[in-house]
Amino acid sequence: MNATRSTEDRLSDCFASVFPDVPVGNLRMASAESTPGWDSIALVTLIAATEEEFETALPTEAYPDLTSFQAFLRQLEGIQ
Amino acid sequence: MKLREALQISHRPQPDGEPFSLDLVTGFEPLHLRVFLSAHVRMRLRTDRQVLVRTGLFGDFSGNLERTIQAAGAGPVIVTLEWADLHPLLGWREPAFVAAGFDEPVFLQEIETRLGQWSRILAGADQIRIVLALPVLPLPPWVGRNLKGQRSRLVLELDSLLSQFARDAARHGVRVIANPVMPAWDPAKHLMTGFPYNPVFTDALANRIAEVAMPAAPKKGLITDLDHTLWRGIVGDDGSDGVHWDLDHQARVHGWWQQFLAALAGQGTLIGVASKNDLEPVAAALARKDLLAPVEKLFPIEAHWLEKTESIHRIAAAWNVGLNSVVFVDDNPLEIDAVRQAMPEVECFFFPANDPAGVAELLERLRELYGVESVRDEDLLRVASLRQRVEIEEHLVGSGSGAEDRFANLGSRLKLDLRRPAAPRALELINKTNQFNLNGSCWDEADWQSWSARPEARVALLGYEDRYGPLGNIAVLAAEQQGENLMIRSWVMSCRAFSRRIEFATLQCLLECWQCQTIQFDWRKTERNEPTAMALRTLVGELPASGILEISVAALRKSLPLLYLDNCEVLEN
Repeated sequence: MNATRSTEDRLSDCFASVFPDVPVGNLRMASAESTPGWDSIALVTLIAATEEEFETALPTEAYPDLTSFQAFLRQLEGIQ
Repeated sequence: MKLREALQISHRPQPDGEPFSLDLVTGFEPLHLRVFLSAHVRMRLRTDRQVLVRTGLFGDFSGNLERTIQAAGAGPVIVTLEWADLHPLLGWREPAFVAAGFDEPVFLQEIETRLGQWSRILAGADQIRIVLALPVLPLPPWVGRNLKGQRSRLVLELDSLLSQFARDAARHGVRVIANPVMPAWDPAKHLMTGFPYNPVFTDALANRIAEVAMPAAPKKGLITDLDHTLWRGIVGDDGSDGVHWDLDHQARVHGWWQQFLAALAGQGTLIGVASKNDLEPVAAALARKDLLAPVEKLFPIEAHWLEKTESIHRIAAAWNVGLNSVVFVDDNPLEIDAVRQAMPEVECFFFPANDPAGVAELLERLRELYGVESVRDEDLLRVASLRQRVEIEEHLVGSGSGAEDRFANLGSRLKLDLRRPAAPRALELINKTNQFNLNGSCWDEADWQSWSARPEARVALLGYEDRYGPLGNIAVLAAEQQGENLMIRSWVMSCRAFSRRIEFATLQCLLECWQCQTIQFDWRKTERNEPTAMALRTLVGELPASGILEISVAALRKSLPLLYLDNCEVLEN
């Protein structure tokens, strides 16, 4: 089923599970600066949820740059 | 469960009420374990609530353990130990200097001292449900001097110290989990985040911890087939000497089955027989001296040509248990299917007589369904008292003037245990009793402990014996004393104790101990609690489907039938 959904939608699901209080419409604009609760624990959880969803491993050297939804998306698109 | 599902479950809003709290003691960053634990525990709660997982300080296992035990609430405490918590040298993340003159005995003494301290902390917390997970990460290769293919003495010493620690903890009531057997370590994430486990293992570990911290009620009874299940062969054709369960006849798996049934019976599990056979050859085979199954504990034995579903109904009725408490085992897939279709509540298992590995697997699975933490006196009395029940009911429920004489000559002796904290048997009875049950409400262990610690809470655990023998602890009454009023929240009694007026004797005795002017019953009709309704009708007349039933103590005393107690012993703190 996942194959029929866009990368962006699936990533949005990952963000929604980590930030349940952020309205769905705002998730794609989420960033470390704008999102309450985006701390180091949330980042590591986001990385794990994303890796699980896309069955991939995000390179550890990219972690410091993963500061927004769009940054995650770019990273995934770079891998795929 | 995936991490994303675990997050969704743990974040899901709860309908109302306080969240369920538990403590997680680790030396590592608890990260995903916290999330998975929250989700798995939530799924096992009787009422849906969010689960708050309290954690401690990173890298301070000792301090976290001490602080948590000192401040623990009613919820469970989960202790997840890793080698690095014992000494930095045993971990992968923190640097530890390995001196050229490493003194092994001194190092081991240091580990032993540390484990001894933790053991004493755990020993002093026997009122708390503690679950302990032992290390799963590999020891670093700088520990010990391995020759190829050989375990080092140092590692063996460490294993031994850890086993001793776990054994001592278990002796003090700590539940030591069997760790999931699968790859656990994610070195990259461990170094990066401080959390050592991969998500798949974390999910399995959290599930296992939740199973142990919030155990499901064990099944009450097992119904076994005979031919090609309890023994190899068809007793009706081969005769009682022609069926086998030994190695010489390639029938040892049936011996396993008999030994397993003996073990279950030894812990109080009910064992019944459902076999399409004539009774005579069955009785002859069951009379064989070399039978490994405990024939005196096989009750009832349904050996005839009626359908297995009919046998199962009869056995469950004799045991007085619901079908959802029953497991049926048979070697015939057709019989299994028939029972599954007609009785979906009954859990059915195929006995793979020609597959020893399959039988071993079956035994392992059933062992989990019948797991009990301890065996109490009343568990061992169960079969005998069920056998006696019919006889006693016939004896007592007669009509005419002789009926009262029979009650008077019962020799009833009650033991009311009002001590705090209430014995674990009290909660067990409340949660598993269906028929004599005031309202069918169940309690989570943590809620029960929290409620029963309140000053207004009153709990009575009732033991009983008469001239037919002891029944053990068979009833519980849990109430709140509010001034002159006693509100009864839970009231249950084992079906083994029916027909003796024990329910009324309980009230009469408690009125002497708990002074009050009115009694309220938090009544709710359920599918199976008609016996409770009958008792309450005696006291208050017609009943609504649910609601608070109130009666003055004076009126209640007048409503009680004649009671004949030889003795009522009260145990108090």
